[in-house]
Amino acid sequence: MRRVVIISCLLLVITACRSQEPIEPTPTPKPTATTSSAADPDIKAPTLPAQARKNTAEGAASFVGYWVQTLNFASRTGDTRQLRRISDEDCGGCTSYAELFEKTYADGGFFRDSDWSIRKLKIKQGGSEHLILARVTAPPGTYRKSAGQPVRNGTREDSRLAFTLKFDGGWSMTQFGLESELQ
Amino acid sequence: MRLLLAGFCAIAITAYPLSAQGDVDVNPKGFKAVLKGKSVKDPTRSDTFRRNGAIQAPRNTGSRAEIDCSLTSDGLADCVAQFLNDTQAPAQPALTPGRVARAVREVPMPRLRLSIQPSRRTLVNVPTILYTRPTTLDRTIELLGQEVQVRATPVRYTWVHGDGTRRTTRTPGKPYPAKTVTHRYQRASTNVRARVDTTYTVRYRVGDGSWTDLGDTLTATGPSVTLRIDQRAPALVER
Repeated sequence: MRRVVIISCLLLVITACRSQEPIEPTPTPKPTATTSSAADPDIKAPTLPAQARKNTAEGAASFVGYWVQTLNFASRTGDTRQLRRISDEDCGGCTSYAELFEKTYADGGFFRDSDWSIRKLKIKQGGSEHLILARVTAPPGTYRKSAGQPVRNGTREDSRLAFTLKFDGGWSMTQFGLESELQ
Repeated sequence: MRLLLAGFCAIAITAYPLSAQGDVDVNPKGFKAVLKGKSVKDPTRSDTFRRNGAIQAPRNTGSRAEIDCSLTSDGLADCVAQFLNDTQAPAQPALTPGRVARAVREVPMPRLRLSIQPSRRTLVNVPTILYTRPTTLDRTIELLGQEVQVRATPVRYTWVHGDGTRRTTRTPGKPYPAKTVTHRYQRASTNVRARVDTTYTVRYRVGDGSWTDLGDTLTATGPSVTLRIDQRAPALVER
């Protein structure tokens, strides 16, 4: 039964990624070969808030929250399609994490209970891009780097990150890194 | 990519790291990830603000929108700032003394034209009369929806003779027969470019408020006038 749920979640992601709009789960699951046995069966793919579709300050902030939720979803499932979809191809940080999750789950590893969390953001607008500064925290969680390896405890994180977004009919993440690396 | 291959174990120790970039260096020593992402370029430093669109920016360029937002657990944002959302009109930036003074300094001062007597063709060692006709400036500019009246009065004149010398006076000079400001050229030349630079004291007031001295003077460089300096040679005349 659990496996069915996992498969359903993944299929929902696939279905949503085919559309132009960000992920919107549908209730018509199908089996898929991309399922990882290490994926968290309890996590659901995040839904883009209507607010995050708007080219407003709130829209930008809401999109960052959604992007982080999508990152968390990818970390728990290894399914990075939506993360890549809402991230610019040139966003090196985005790609690094996507590849990390893909490899971890392909090797039978996983990440658990280490979701990033954002509560406060500061937005600066410049040209067509928005710079967003945010404090991001994450509990230690657990991880396993590959099948057959022991499950280990992680460490708590508390950092200030910098994101840049652009709006071109919808938001996408163009850069992200530590705020201290901001130029 | 190096991050993911060489430093995979190091990353995993922190569940997943809080920062990464396309070319991230990882120090796997002790299984503790040390991430150094590429710098993130601040887009607000190189571009001007977009003037249209839902996110409103002030009309004056150079200011930047900074908006503080909080996220609820369901992913909705609540932002607080001067110019925030679609329904809130952009706030008018304050008309500060510094902003007014900057605007006043950008008002072009009158460039006075140099007049020369007896003509633009003069002689070596002969007093050449220089003068100009001073003009006061009285102009009203609009700044952030308010009228700012600017008055400038000439107080000094710097006569740039074009031969490497200059002189500053408080008088604008007078035409012949007065010889208030004169200059004797020492060498002949067919192309001397002379001018007068005028320094103004400036006052301004916002609306019907009191007059305020700008605090420093503004100088307008005058247009150059080309002179020909001839050498008159002594000649014997038979009578």
